[in-house]
Amino acid sequence: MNDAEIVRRVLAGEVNAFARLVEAHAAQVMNITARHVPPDRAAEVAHETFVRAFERLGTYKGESPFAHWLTRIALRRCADFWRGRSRSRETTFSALGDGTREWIESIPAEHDEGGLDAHAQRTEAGVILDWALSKLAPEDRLVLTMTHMDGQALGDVGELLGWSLSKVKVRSHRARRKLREILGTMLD
Amino acid sequence: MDDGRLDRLEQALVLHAGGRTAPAVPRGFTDQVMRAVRARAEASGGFWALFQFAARRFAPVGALAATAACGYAQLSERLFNQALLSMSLHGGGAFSLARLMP
Repeated sequence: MNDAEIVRRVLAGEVNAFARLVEAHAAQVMNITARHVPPDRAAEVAHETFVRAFERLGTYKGESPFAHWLTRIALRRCADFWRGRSRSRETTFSALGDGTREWIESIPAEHDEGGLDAHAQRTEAGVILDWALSKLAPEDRLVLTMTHMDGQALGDVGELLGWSLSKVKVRSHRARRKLREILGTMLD
Repeated sequence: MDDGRLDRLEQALVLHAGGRTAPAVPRGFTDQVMRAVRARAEASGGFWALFQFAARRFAPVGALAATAACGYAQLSERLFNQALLSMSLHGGGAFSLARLMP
Protein backbone atom coordinates (compact mmCIF):
# COMPACT_ATOMS: atom_id res chain seq x y z
CA MET A 1 0.00 0.00 0.00
CA ASN A 2 1.49 3.37 -0.97
CA ASP A 3 1.47 6.57 1.10
CA ALA A 4 -1.41 8.17 -0.80
CA GLU A 5 -3.58 5.12 -0.17
CA ILE A 6 -2.75 5.21 3.56
CA VAL A 7 -3.59 8.92 3.67
CA ARG A 8 -6.98 8.18 2.08
CA ARG A 9 -7.66 5.52 4.71
CA VAL A 10 -6.72 7.82 7.58
CA LEU A 11 -8.95 10.55 6.20
CA ALA A 12 -11.77 8.04 5.91
CA GLY A 13 -11.55 7.53 9.68
CA GLU A 14 -9.02 4.70 10.00
CA VAL A 15 -6.76 6.66 12.37
CA ASN A 16 -4.55 3.66 13.23
CA ALA A 17 -3.33 3.49 9.63
CA PHE A 18 -1.36 6.67 10.34
CA ALA A 19 1.10 4.50 12.31
CA ARG A 20 2.32 3.07 8.98
CA LEU A 21 3.25 6.54 7.78
CA VAL A 22 5.07 7.23 11.04
CA GLU A 23 7.00 3.95 10.81
CA ALA A 24 7.92 4.60 7.19
CA HIS A 25 9.07 8.20 7.59
CA ALA A 26 10.31 8.50 11.20
CA ALA A 27 13.99 8.07 10.32
CA GLN A 28 13.78 10.61 7.49
CA VAL A 29 12.04 13.19 9.71
CA MET A 30 14.53 12.59 12.53
CA ASN A 31 17.33 13.11 10.04
CA ILE A 32 15.88 16.51 9.09
CA THR A 33 15.11 17.71 12.60
CA ALA A 34 18.54 16.63 13.87
CA ARG A 35 20.15 18.85 11.21
CA HIS A 36 18.19 21.91 12.25
CA VAL A 37 17.58 21.73 16.01
CA PRO A 38 19.84 20.56 18.87
CA PRO A 39 20.18 16.74 18.72
CA ASP A 40 18.57 16.26 22.14
CA ARG A 41 15.41 18.04 20.89
CA ALA A 42 15.25 16.35 17.48
CA ALA A 43 12.84 13.60 18.60
CA GLU A 44 10.51 16.15 20.20
CA VAL A 45 10.33 18.23 17.01
CA ALA A 46 9.90 15.06 14.92
CA HIS A 47 6.99 14.10 17.18
CA GLU A 48 5.40 17.54 16.68
CA THR A 49 5.95 17.17 12.94
CA PHE A 50 3.89 13.98 12.76
CA VAL A 51 1.12 15.36 14.96
CA ARG A 52 0.96 18.46 12.78
CA ALA A 53 0.97 16.31 9.65
CA PHE A 54 -2.01 14.38 11.01
CA GLU A 55 -3.88 17.61 11.72
CA ARG A 56 -3.16 18.91 8.21
CA LEU A 57 -3.56 15.60 6.40
CA GLY A 58 -6.65 16.89 4.60
CA THR A 59 -4.49 19.43 2.77
CA TYR A 60 -2.26 16.72 1.22
CA LYS A 61 -3.43 16.50 -2.39
CA GLY A 62 -1.11 13.72 -3.52
CA GLU A 63 0.43 15.90 -6.24
CA SER A 64 3.93 15.53 -4.77
CA PRO A 65 5.39 12.58 -2.85
CA PHE A 66 4.21 12.36 0.76
CA ALA A 67 7.85 12.53 1.91
CA HIS A 68 8.25 16.00 0.34
CA TRP A 69 5.05 17.24 1.95
CA LEU A 70 6.22 15.88 5.31
CA THR A 71 9.67 17.44 4.86
CA ARG A 72 8.10 20.88 4.41
CA ILE A 73 6.16 20.44 7.65
CA ALA A 74 9.31 19.27 9.46
CA LEU A 75 11.25 22.32 8.25
CA ARG A 76 8.48 24.67 9.38
CA ARG A 77 8.46 22.97 12.79
CA CYS A 78 12.23 23.50 13.04
CA ALA A 79 11.83 27.20 12.23
CA ASP A 80 9.05 27.44 14.84
CA PHE A 81 11.37 25.79 17.36
CA TRP A 82 13.90 28.61 16.93
CA ARG A 83 11.21 31.29 16.99
CA GLY A 84 10.16 29.97 20.38
CA ARG A 85 13.74 30.13 21.61
CA SER A 86 14.60 33.61 20.36
CA ARG A 87 15.73 34.59 23.86
CA SER A 88 18.61 32.16 23.67
CA ARG A 89 20.16 34.45 21.07
CA GLU A 90 21.12 36.71 23.92
CA THR A 91 23.66 34.20 25.25
CA THR A 92 27.10 35.77 25.04
CA PHE A 93 30.07 34.01 23.52
CA SER A 94 32.00 34.27 26.79
CA ALA A 95 29.23 32.24 28.49
CA LEU A 96 30.19 29.24 26.36
CA GLY A 97 33.29 28.65 28.46
CA ASP A 98 37.06 28.72 28.10
CA GLY A 99 37.15 25.53 26.02
CA THR A 100 35.54 27.19 23.04
CA ARG A 101 37.92 30.16 23.23
CA GLU A 102 40.88 27.77 23.29
CA TRP A 103 39.42 25.84 20.35
CA ILE A 104 39.27 29.02 18.28
CA GLU A 105 42.79 30.01 19.27
CA SER A 106 44.12 26.62 18.23
CA ILE A 107 42.61 26.47 14.75
CA PRO A 108 45.41 25.10 12.52
CA ALA A 109 47.23 27.34 10.12
CA GLU A 110 46.58 27.33 6.37
CA HIS A 111 47.67 24.32 4.23
CA ASP A 112 46.90 21.94 7.08
CA GLU A 113 43.65 20.39 5.89
CA GLY A 114 44.16 17.18 7.86
CA GLY A 115 44.64 19.15 11.07
CA LEU A 116 41.54 21.22 10.35
CA ASP A 117 39.49 18.08 9.78
CA ALA A 118 40.52 16.61 13.12
CA HIS A 119 39.93 19.95 14.78
CA ALA A 120 36.42 20.11 13.36
CA GLN A 121 35.45 16.82 14.98
CA ARG A 122 35.85 18.21 18.50
CA THR A 123 32.82 18.97 20.65
CA GLU A 124 33.70 22.65 20.92
CA ALA A 125 33.09 23.05 17.19
CA GLY A 126 29.49 21.90 17.69
CA VAL A 127 28.99 24.28 20.62
CA ILE A 128 30.29 27.24 18.61
CA LEU A 129 28.32 26.22 15.51
CA ASP A 130 25.05 25.99 17.46
CA TRP A 131 25.75 29.28 19.22
CA ALA A 132 26.55 31.13 15.97
CA LEU A 133 23.51 29.68 14.19
CA SER A 134 21.26 30.58 17.11
CA LYS A 135 22.15 34.23 16.44
CA LEU A 136 20.51 34.05 13.02
CA ALA A 137 16.83 34.46 12.19
CA PRO A 138 15.06 31.07 11.92
CA GLU A 139 14.70 31.25 8.11
CA ASP A 140 18.32 32.33 7.67
CA ARG A 141 19.43 29.46 9.83
CA LEU A 142 17.29 27.03 7.86
CA VAL A 143 18.45 28.10 4.42
CA LEU A 144 22.10 28.34 5.47
CA THR A 145 22.09 24.84 6.95
CA MET A 146 20.47 23.40 3.84
CA THR A 147 22.60 25.16 1.24
CA HIS A 148 25.93 25.78 2.91
CA MET A 149 26.23 22.99 5.49
CA ASP A 150 24.32 20.16 3.78
CA GLY A 151 25.15 21.23 0.23
CA GLN A 152 21.62 20.78 -1.08
CA ALA A 153 20.83 22.14 -4.54
CA LEU A 154 19.30 25.62 -4.49
CA GLY A 155 16.35 24.46 -6.58
CA ASP A 156 15.56 21.67 -4.12
CA VAL A 157 15.80 24.08 -1.19
CA GLY A 158 13.47 26.50 -2.94
CA GLU A 159 10.94 23.74 -3.55
CA LEU A 160 11.04 22.54 0.05
CA LEU A 161 10.79 26.02 1.54
CA GLY A 162 8.29 27.26 -1.02
CA TRP A 163 10.67 30.00 -2.13
CA SER A 164 11.76 31.17 -5.58
CA LEU A 165 15.28 30.33 -6.70
CA SER A 166 16.35 33.98 -6.50
CA LYS A 167 15.01 34.26 -2.97
CA VAL A 168 16.98 31.18 -1.92
CA LYS A 169 20.13 32.67 -3.46
CA VAL A 170 19.67 36.05 -1.78
CA ARG A 171 18.72 34.68 1.65
CA SER A 172 21.48 32.10 1.56
CA HIS A 173 24.10 34.68 0.63
CA ARG A 174 22.82 37.12 3.24
CA ALA A 175 22.71 34.43 5.94
CA ARG A 176 26.27 33.38 5.21
CA ARG A 177 27.43 36.98 5.41
CA LYS A 178 25.70 37.32 8.79
CA LEU A 179 27.29 34.11 10.02
CA ARG A 180 30.72 35.37 9.02
CA GLU A 181 30.06 38.63 10.83
CA ILE A 182 29.16 36.68 13.97
CA LEU A 183 32.23 34.48 13.64
CA GLY A 184 34.32 37.59 13.02
CA THR A 185 33.29 39.04 16.38
CA MET A 186 34.68 35.92 18.04
CA LEU A 187 38.06 36.45 16.41
CA ASP A 188 38.29 40.13 17.35
CA MET B 1 40.22 40.86 11.23
CA ASP B 2 42.27 38.09 9.60
CA ASP B 3 40.10 36.83 6.69
CA GLY B 4 42.19 33.66 6.33
CA ARG B 5 41.55 32.77 9.95
CA LEU B 6 37.86 33.52 9.55
CA ASP B 7 37.76 31.26 6.47
CA ARG B 8 39.36 28.40 8.37
CA LEU B 9 36.99 28.86 11.32
CA GLU B 10 34.02 28.77 8.97
CA GLN B 11 35.45 25.77 7.14
CA ALA B 12 35.94 23.89 10.43
CA LEU B 13 32.34 24.55 11.44
CA VAL B 14 31.03 23.44 8.05
CA LEU B 15 33.11 20.26 8.33
CA HIS B 16 31.69 19.66 11.79
CA ALA B 17 28.12 20.16 10.54
CA GLY B 18 28.75 17.72 7.68
CA GLY B 19 30.01 15.08 10.10
CA ARG B 20 27.00 15.22 12.36
CA THR B 21 24.93 12.05 12.33
CA ALA B 22 21.23 11.93 13.07
CA PRO B 23 20.29 10.19 16.30
CA ALA B 24 18.34 6.97 15.95
CA VAL B 25 14.56 7.05 16.19
CA PRO B 26 13.78 6.60 19.91
CA ARG B 27 12.18 3.37 21.06
CA GLY B 28 8.39 3.68 21.24
CA PHE B 29 8.39 6.77 19.01
CA THR B 30 5.50 5.55 16.85
CA ASP B 31 3.41 4.63 19.91
CA GLN B 32 3.93 8.09 21.42
CA VAL B 33 2.96 9.79 18.18
CA MET B 34 -0.11 7.57 17.82
CA ARG B 35 -1.23 8.36 21.38
CA ALA B 36 -1.10 12.08 20.58
CA VAL B 37 -2.78 11.53 17.21
CA ARG B 38 -5.64 9.50 18.72
CA ALA B 39 -6.15 12.15 21.39
CA ARG B 40 -6.42 14.80 18.65
CA ALA B 41 -8.77 12.65 16.61
CA GLU B 42 -11.03 12.07 19.63
CA ALA B 43 -10.99 15.74 20.62
CA SER B 44 -11.72 16.78 17.07
CA GLY B 45 -14.43 14.11 16.67
CA GLY B 46 -16.01 15.14 19.98
CA PHE B 47 -16.14 18.77 18.92
CA TRP B 48 -17.81 18.00 15.57
CA ALA B 49 -20.25 15.58 17.17
CA LEU B 50 -21.29 18.28 19.64
CA PHE B 51 -21.42 20.87 16.87
CA GLN B 52 -23.64 18.66 14.70
CA PHE B 53 -25.93 17.87 17.62
CA ALA B 54 -26.25 21.55 18.53
CA ALA B 55 -26.84 22.49 14.88
CA ARG B 56 -29.56 19.87 14.43
CA ARG B 57 -31.21 20.61 17.76
CA PHE B 58 -31.09 24.39 17.80
CA ALA B 59 -30.83 25.51 14.17
CA PRO B 60 -34.64 25.80 13.55
CA VAL B 61 -35.17 27.64 16.84
CA GLY B 62 -32.15 29.84 16.18
CA ALA B 63 -33.32 30.70 12.68
CA LEU B 64 -36.76 31.66 13.96
CA ALA B 65 -35.30 33.73 16.80
CA ALA B 66 -32.91 35.52 14.42
CA THR B 67 -35.75 36.26 11.96
CA ALA B 68 -37.94 37.60 14.76
CA ALA B 69 -35.13 39.74 16.17
CA CYS B 70 -34.29 41.20 12.75
CA GLY B 71 -37.95 41.85 12.01
CA TYR B 72 -38.47 43.56 15.32
CA ALA B 73 -35.37 45.71 14.80
CA GLN B 74 -36.50 46.72 11.31
CA LEU B 75 -40.00 47.58 12.50
CA SER B 76 -38.70 49.53 15.49
CA GLU B 77 -36.33 51.51 13.31
CA ARG B 78 -39.12 52.43 10.89
CA LEU B 79 -41.43 53.44 13.72
CA PHE B 80 -38.70 55.44 15.40
CA ASN B 81 -37.83 57.26 12.18
CA GLN B 82 -41.46 58.08 11.47
CA ALA B 83 -42.06 59.24 15.03
CA LEU B 84 -38.89 61.34 15.01
CA LEU B 85 -39.96 62.99 11.76
CA SER B 86 -43.46 63.70 13.09
CA MET B 87 -42.19 65.08 16.36
CA SER B 88 -39.57 67.24 14.73
CA LEU B 89 -42.35 68.75 12.61
CA HIS B 90 -44.13 69.59 15.85
CA GLY B 91 -41.10 70.92 17.66
CA GLY B 92 -40.21 67.76 19.60
CA GLY B 93 -36.73 66.24 19.87
CA ALA B 94 -35.07 62.87 20.12
CA PHE B 95 -34.90 63.12 23.92
CA SER B 96 -38.66 63.37 24.40
CA LEU B 97 -39.19 60.67 21.77
CA ALA B 98 -36.78 58.28 23.53
CA ARG B 99 -38.96 58.40 26.64
CA LEU B 100 -41.97 57.35 24.58
CA MET B 101 -40.28 54.36 22.97
CA PRO B 102 -40.95 50.86 24.35
